[in-house]
Amino acid sequence: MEVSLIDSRCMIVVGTRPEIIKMAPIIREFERQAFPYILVHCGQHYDYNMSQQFIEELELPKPDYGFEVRAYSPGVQTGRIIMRIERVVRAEKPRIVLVEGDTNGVLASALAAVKLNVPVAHVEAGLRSFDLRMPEEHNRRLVDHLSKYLFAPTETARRNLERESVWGQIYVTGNTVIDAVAQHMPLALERSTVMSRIRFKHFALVTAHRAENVDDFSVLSNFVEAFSEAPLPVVYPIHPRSRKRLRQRKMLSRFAEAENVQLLPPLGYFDFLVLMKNCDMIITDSGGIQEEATAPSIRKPVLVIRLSTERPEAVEVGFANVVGVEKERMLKAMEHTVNEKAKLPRTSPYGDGTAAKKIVGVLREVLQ
Amino acid sequence: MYMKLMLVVGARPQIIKSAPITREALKHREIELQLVHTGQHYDFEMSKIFFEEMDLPEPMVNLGVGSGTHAWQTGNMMIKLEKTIIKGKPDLVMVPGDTNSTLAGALAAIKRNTPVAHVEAGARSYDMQMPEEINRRLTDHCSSLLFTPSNKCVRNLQGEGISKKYIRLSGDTMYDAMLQHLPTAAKSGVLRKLGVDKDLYGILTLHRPENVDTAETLRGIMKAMMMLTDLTVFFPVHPRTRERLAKFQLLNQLEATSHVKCVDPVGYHDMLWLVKHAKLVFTDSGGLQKEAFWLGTPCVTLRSRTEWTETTRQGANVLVGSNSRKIVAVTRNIMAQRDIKSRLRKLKNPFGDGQASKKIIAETLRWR
Repeated sequence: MEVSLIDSRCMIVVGTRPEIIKMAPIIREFERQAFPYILVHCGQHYDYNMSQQFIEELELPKPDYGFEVRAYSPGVQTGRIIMRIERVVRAEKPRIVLVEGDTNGVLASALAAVKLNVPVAHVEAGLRSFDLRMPEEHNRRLVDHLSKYLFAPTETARRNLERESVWGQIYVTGNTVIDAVAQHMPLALERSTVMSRIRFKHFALVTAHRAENVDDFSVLSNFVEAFSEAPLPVVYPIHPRSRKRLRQRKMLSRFAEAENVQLLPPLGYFDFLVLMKNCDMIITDSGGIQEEATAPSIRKPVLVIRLSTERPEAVEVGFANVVGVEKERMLKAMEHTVNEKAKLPRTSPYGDGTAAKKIVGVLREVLQ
Repeated sequence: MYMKLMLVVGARPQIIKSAPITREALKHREIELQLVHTGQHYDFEMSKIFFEEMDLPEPMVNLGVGSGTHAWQTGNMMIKLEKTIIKGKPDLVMVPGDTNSTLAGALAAIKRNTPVAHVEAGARSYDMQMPEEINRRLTDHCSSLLFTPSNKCVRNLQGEGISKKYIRLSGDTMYDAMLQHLPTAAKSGVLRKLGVDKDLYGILTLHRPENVDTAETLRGIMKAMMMLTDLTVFFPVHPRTRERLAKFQLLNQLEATSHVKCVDPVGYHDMLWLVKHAKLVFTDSGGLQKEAFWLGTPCVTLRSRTEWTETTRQGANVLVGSNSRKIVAVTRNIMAQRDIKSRLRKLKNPFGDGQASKKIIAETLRWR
């Protein structure tokens, strides 16, 4: 039986850019199957317009509802999003609310839904860093414990959920990030001109944005030292805040002197995809990039400049290596990766790019 | 060591659960107690009387949140609680029970990186339709210190992957409260006021949305009460329930039934004394199931699930739902057992020894 009646609608909530990227394949699958849905964009005020633009760039449909939440503290932010999302859920009466990831917006949206007795489906369920100092760890865990449908990207994630005896139904689907890379890479290669600006043929691509790294000056100066002495050229799209901090401490000039370091302003998603495709290795503290690097059209070794990861699968199969933030260990790991030309697996531990299809399939089934 | 302890209360049962903790905390000079009232209780006057009855100090602040939808209430409380936490700078936020105030307190605290202690942790009905079940579960997963009323609750938490090192078996502070307040209850004179004889009447309390919001369910329960012509039933009517009874045209009929006595809501002491001397209790409340158990009064629970299976397991509490025939059959069976109360009084109490609050405060100080 086909479900196309209005009362079988799902509500998809997105907020930050990573959520938009990972939800994009699901939105496209809803479109492809002509399955009814409502798209809600709830953003934080400082990047709301950017996210809105990003939705257009990815050629996704315009959200049915969009609102930005001005808040300077996480509690107020979470509280306000609960109240805003509640109004939408009450007006639209969706059968399921679909959220992705682990931000305060995700927790707030899920809470609003569950408080109105609307079942929640969590995409990318079961991730755990077991580090409760990360606010995302609380958000993930709470959303998993209030969701009725849990879409775990991997068997590891499923085991995490089973160990916590979540009450919802678990489905292992793969991660939609792999679908997303496959769908977005052609667009990126067509539109991005970033490679014409890169001075090197072979290089390591660096991203660092986590507060515990870039807000800690001793860590940041480790980065400067390590990258300046790196065994291969380094391309580093640097956040203006980190750049400013380096200049204040007179460290920026070290980068300027180092011939093998090219600093770039922050890059768009498409430029970044193209750089990932063309680099020799990726050095990052981001979670999502550890996954993207394993996509067939990228396939690059990753050095994780953090102390822990909630994505152990890439480490287990040999794509990633958690190297911490000490200069010597970072350098050693870079050398090792250059010399060994790490033999990377053919397939991604995060699925075969059919996660969105599986997720929408489950949603259709449970709604029938 | 000096410690700022913020205790968040809102609804009536939380005020009961907190009274012994407050009393114990005030004995310790090294504790600065910050009592916060969210105002979740709909009637300011009523809650003030209740504070006085439980001999609680004036709260440091009343957030005056008032009634609203669950999501609105939770969001709004989070926003106000965060401000209170920023101002009070507590070392620990303690939340008792399973209401929206409990969850909002826990969420606001973790969003400010303040550790949370949950009193009455680990209770589970595994009925996700109950909003309290979500509140309990999420609060437990926010907490760094979990005070459980019974061994069963410890096992429930461990089953959800919560490490033993965070769990403390304290016993139930509601039991402490009962023991502390029984002497006052004995002087309440409520039996004389209502003109009833010991052991010759039943008590009915009803407030849960799933019971009072649908005409059919409410009618089923009322029909059972009207059929029990040989039992005088005292029915302190919750304002919300009264409104529904009127809406479903049941109120007139009920008031015309001579053996069912609709009375105004009664205070804690009167209720304790009424329960102690009742032939049996009909209820959909959580706390009353335990109070009936401790007082050796048979309990007929008008729900299909309970979080207090310790009471049903020993046969002191029967789950009957809202089916009138079943309610009547179970009641007749109980009424036929002459020595039932003396047998119930001999049952083992799995909810501690009445020293739960002492243990909670001692463990809290040690934890610090």
